[in-house]
Amino acid sequence: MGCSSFFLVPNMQHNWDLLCVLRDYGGVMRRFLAIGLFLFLAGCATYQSVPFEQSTAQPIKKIGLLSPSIPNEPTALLATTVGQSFGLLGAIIDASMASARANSLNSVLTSNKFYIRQEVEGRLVAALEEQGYEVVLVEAARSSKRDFVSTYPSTEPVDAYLDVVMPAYGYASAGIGSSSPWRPFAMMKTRLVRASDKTVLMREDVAYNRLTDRNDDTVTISADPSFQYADFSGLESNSERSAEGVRVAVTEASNTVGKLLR
Amino acid sequence: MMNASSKLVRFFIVGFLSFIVSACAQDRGPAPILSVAQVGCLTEPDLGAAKALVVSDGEATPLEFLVSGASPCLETGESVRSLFELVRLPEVDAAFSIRVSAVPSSTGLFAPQLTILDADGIPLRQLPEEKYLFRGPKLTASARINAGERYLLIASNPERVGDRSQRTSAIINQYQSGGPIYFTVRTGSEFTKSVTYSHGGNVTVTGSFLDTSLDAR
Repeated sequence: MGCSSFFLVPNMQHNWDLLCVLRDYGGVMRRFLAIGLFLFLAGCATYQSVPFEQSTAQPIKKIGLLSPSIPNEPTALLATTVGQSFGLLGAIIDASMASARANSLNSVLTSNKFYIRQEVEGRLVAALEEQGYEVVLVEAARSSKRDFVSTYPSTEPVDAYLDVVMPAYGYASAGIGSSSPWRPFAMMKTRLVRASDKTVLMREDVAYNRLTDRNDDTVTISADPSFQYADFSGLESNSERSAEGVRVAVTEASNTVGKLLR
Repeated sequence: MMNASSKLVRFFIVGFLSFIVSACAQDRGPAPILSVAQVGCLTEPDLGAAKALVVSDGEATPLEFLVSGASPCLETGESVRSLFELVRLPEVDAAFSIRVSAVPSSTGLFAPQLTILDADGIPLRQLPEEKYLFRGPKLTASARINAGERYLLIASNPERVGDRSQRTSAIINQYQSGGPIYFTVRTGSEFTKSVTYSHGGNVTVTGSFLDTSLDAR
């Protein structure tokens, strides 16, 4: 099935964008749609990667990390549900259950002092410093939560800007039953832009636990099997460990961004 | 007569399906090669035997090959042997990148180690270990090609051969009913695939020109 049939917004270049559109519009329905379409969305990315290569003529030493675009709430994504077989009524029931799961996951994270922005920025800074870069945080004005910055600052004393958009994070399961456990996931769209002439130095997408193993340009990281739950209630009752699972997902995705900038 | 004909058709269909199933069952791809026993390994690659990555009309034609027991071997230290293939890179004057993808068989995955050489076969740089990343089921490494970089040595990494990689993926099955009542059932499940890093395996080399303008990204 072609991915284009799922484009709710015309001319989207990237399928992750759709997940972000759903996120932006809010409401219960978006969760239902996000669940059913997630696998296709995550699996059909069409961007072309640009590998980073450190230049000897214009070396990148100092990076301005633009404040990443991050969803306000986590996603608890059940890719296939019984409700999907029962039309509108099933959709309404699914949406209600999905909303309850997302709220519960949000409680799990906040009760364990997991604050996504703090985590993402902290892990990315650490990953870049690990590769020898000096890093400064730069406030970014975004016209859309789902896309890269359209105009990069020109006043910051940095060699390049790292622009990160996080379409979604949280826990995901392929379906109901112990054979498809809940595991943490995190996704990052990244772009490194040279400050002086706005040349794109790197363009990569990274997904920790993407569920599908489709052939495309996205760098994929397998989920750590030590953070998995046969059902959602297991995730809820092990809240500290569940929060740690998302932390690992964010850390691994950030470290991979660092590796791509080596 | 009709009945006999129908039985014959059914016989051929069953036979054909059995053939397909058995063919698929046997098509497991190359088994992992865990040691290089050849003698007389080269100490440097033969530039004349390089496979060319050809660019025409602004596109590079993908190069697909199998690194196998019949591939040349390279001895880089005492008893440190690798199987390898050499690729001649195109001479381009625009931003150009290459990607090497190791494609898994049902049991094995080529463990690549990439070195870029100049026109005389002198090593210029080796891609660091961190650059080898999975993109879907394939283990890949990408690099931009700079002026003077003319050959890509794709050798097996003896330090990684024998290690195992395990990846889990989801499968979404969709069933649609026929008849007067239409409904769709989707089920999700997972499978885990475990492969062993190998001296040999299927490799694909691709190249592409890079548009590094903001509008293109």
